[in-house]
Amino acid sequence: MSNPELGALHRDLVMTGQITEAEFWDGREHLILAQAAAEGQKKGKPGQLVDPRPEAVEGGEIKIRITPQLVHDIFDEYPVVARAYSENVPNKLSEEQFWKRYFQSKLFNVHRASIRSSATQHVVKEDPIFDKRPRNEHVEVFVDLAATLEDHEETGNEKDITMQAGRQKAALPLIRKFNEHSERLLNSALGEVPPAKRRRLDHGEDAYSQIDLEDLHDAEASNGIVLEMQDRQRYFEARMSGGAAESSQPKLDPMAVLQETKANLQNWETRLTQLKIDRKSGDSALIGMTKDVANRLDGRARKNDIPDGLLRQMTSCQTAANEFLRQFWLATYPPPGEPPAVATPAQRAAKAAKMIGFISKTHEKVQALVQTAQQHGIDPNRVQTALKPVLQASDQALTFYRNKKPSKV
Amino acid sequence: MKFFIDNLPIIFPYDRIYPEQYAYMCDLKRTLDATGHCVLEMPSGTGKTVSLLSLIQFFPTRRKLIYCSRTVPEIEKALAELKRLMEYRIKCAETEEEKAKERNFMGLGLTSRKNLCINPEVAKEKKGKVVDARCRDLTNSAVCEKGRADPGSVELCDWHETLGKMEAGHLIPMGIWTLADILQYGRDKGICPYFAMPFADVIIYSFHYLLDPKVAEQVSKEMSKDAIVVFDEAHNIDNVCIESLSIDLTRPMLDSAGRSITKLSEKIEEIKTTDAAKLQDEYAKLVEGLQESITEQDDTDAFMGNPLLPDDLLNEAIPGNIRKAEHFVAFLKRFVEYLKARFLLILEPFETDNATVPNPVFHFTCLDPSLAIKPVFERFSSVVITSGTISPLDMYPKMLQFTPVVQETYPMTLTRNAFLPLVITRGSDQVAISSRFEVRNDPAVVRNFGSILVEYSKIVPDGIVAFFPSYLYMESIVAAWNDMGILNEVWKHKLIFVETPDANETSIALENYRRACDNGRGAVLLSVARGKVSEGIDFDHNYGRAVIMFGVPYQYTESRILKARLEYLRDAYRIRESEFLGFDAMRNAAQCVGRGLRGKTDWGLMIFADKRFARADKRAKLPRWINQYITETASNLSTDMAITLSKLFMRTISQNPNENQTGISLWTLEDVEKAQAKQKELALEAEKHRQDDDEYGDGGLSDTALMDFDLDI
Repeated sequence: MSNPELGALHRDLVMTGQITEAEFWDGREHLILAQAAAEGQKKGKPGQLVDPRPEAVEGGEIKIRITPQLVHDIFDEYPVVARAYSENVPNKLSEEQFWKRYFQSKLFNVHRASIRSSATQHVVKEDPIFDKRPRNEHVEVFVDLAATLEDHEETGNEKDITMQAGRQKAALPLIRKFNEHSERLLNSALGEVPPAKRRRLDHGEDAYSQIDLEDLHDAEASNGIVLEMQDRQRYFEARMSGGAAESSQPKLDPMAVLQETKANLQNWETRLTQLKIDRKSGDSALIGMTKDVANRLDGRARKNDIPDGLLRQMTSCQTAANEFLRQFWLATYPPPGEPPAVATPAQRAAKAAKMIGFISKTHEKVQALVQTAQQHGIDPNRVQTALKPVLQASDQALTFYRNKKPSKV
Repeated sequence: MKFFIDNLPIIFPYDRIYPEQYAYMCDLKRTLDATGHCVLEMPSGTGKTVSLLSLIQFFPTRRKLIYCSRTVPEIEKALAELKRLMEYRIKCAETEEEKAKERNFMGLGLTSRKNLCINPEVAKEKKGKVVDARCRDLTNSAVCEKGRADPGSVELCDWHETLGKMEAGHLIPMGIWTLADILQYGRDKGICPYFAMPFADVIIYSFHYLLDPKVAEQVSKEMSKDAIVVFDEAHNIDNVCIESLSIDLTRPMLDSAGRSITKLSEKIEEIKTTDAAKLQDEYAKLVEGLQESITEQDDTDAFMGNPLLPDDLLNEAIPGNIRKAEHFVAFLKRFVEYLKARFLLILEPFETDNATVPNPVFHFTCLDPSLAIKPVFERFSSVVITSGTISPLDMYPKMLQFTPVVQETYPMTLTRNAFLPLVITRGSDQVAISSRFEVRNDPAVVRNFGSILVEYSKIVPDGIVAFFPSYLYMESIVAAWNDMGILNEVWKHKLIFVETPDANETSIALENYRRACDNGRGAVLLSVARGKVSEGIDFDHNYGRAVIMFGVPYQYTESRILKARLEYLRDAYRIRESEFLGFDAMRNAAQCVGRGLRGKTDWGLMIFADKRFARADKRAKLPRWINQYITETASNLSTDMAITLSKLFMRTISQNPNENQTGISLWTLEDVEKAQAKQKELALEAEKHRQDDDEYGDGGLSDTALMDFDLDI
């Protein structure tokens, strides 16, 4: 846990069994979620293609260095290899033999993204199952090139040879590989969502937002969110009558005011430089101030003569009481918008009762602290004053609970 | 906001307007008032479409609008733009009556059966042609008649049948329908969207539907003559014109044409003997459904006539000599023989340079782009040709043979430089880089191109798009980079996506590319100028923080077709070969780098990597709005210098713009009115001057005033 204070509170309350783990985290879910998100954030995959390049060593041999990372990458990129590996190693082939065979195989040549190796492409036949393409997915209409292609029959003479796409047969598998690799990387980061669904998820990606020229709108065109408040009407009426009263006051012309202020502010720089302060008085003032601050600090430090142990007890008493109060109010007024499944009203009532039990003990606890303070020879009033807000808050909760109870029953 | 241009009320669906947009609308209005044609170049991403629609769609006479774009994504975007404008207008309308009036308006897009079919059995076909054929099998009138008379005897399409039961003319309610909307509506109501298409006030479709006589005849015949025609993204319109009148014929095609005609004549003989009346009937149908019947050869030959008879483009009349069935067949026979005979003048005996088996291809190629567009200029009184990159403007009237009343290019008003164009002429090792044929595969050049990509992938956030001059070059350089280990460096910083020959595959790659840009992983997209991706896919905001043009995208000059075309342009229109080639290369380069901007808050780098871009005459062919921001120092950089400048630029641009853009690069309603008042004043003054002394003419106008208001003097 990265938050020591919260950790201490947790120790005090949950580990001692006063409230349950679930209760403690109730209302603090965001912390857990944030933590989980931070931990769950994995490092993205590096973009590079898996393309082991052989190094030439002396004697005309070539060598490919196999690292665990490379193996992982190859398996990731080509599940076929991973399957072959799990089926054959180590029963039928040794690790070494397996890789040797892979790097000599045609498959490797296909996998290798190189124009030199794509000679094999001419030999290998297209397989209707494995080389399925093009995928007939629906794409968004604003990037749909096929729709244009099929909009009218193609006319005209064929394109000259430089403009016929895909003539460079060797480059085509490479290009497809790039597109697929990029898509795979993207999906590994964003999750694989079918395009149709993705489009629905993308808010604001409708047709209008794509054609909109945003700077042509007035900046203040936004409606804003309506403030939800009680007695809104009365509030506004009051404002209006107030406004009417105000209007009887002489109206200030903003332009005039602005002008005046501007005039007043003119030459402030020169005036500032002209401002001269007597050195001595300045110094003495500063020294005086420093002394004063030092004195106060000193006094505070001396005053703080509560022993460490007691201070810690006081703090924990305070945070614990606060926690109970938080739980109590949470149970009484659950935050709106939360799914009702979190806690039924009965559960909440029970929880509130439990909390009220704890809260009612606050007084005793404070009393105990006061007594300890007396034993240590410290002015008990000081402890009392320090913990007074907590007591007040507890009393408030208690009164509220008592008043509410009868109406509920 | 709502404002007036002269007395025309304009409802513009934003709170502010770019000065360019205002000027653009003024010029458009001028064109329409004069019922003439125009060529307008407006910087990419400054909201051309919305300005166009806001002005034209509600022109007081309520002329219909035919809006042509290049690609289906662009069509869909234009439809979405229209739909939003419509919603805004309904919201702005004050009385219920006005609202109802606004609602009584229809706009939709046309596209192929393949893109609109919702019959699952048919729609799963991948090829548009197959979808067409299967659809016709299920929906042609003979089959429908038979199927309705005797249910179950033949297969019919349910969606088409439901449509038939509904009242004609009310198949689709009023409103603006994007392609996605219409598909959804069809699915909901169980009707076929393709056949439900009614006539609308605004029709949006691709260039081919108006320029290709085969399609135009069916689709655009009914369009009223006073409709306004807009060609958006029209920088390649001459190529579309040429394409629509060109065709390749091969021996097998001709052979099968011959076979089909023999079959046809046999059939005629057969029918003749059995039923003479039926023959007449059959023949009438045959002529009617010429393009639908039998084989595609009929297509070719019937329309081949068109360019030869340009006045008869819509093929309304059948020449007298082919009116009778026998004559018709005889004509076809002769025609095929004619083509076969002409085959001796083979253009390409071998399909490729190194092929050894002869496979003759007959290129029937149109050399004159004005041929296909002539009927459009003749039929419609106002044709608007516009694009983000259509420089030099005077090239288009020359090539397409028309006289524009307005011809304008707009500078981009910016309070801070939102984009940085840089010309890299050499690598960090000072070796000049170029995609010139002789050096493009030089390892030093390839490596230097590679290191540009590596360096930029290190410093640029999110997306980088790189364009190559051709597929061939991209494919070989990608392989070379991989072997040189350059791409491994790129992989460290970004994902890599590459355009492939398959459109669907590329679309998926594109979608993934965008995901990677959104996600922050960042990606590089390698693609080709003039290719599928460069036409009609936007790389705005994080989808393209840097666009790199590797080399100058010249066409392949060894192509015989190109050579013939160049010769024609020189002889007919006095356009020099080098001038055309340079123009063509630069318009495509500009188009590529222009993909990266949308709106004035967007920013991006534009990298031109070739030493030939340093030449002033090359850069002069770029659109003014790009060229004006290329500084002298930035026009001749080495890679490391460019990287330094780019870093500096990105540091500046990522700071919040403090200065208020309003009034300079953004206008509020007051600014518009102020500008109008000033304009009026200036016009008055100019008028006075003219009266005083003709010599002064348009004196009294400062340069800035000219730039801002594009006065017509």
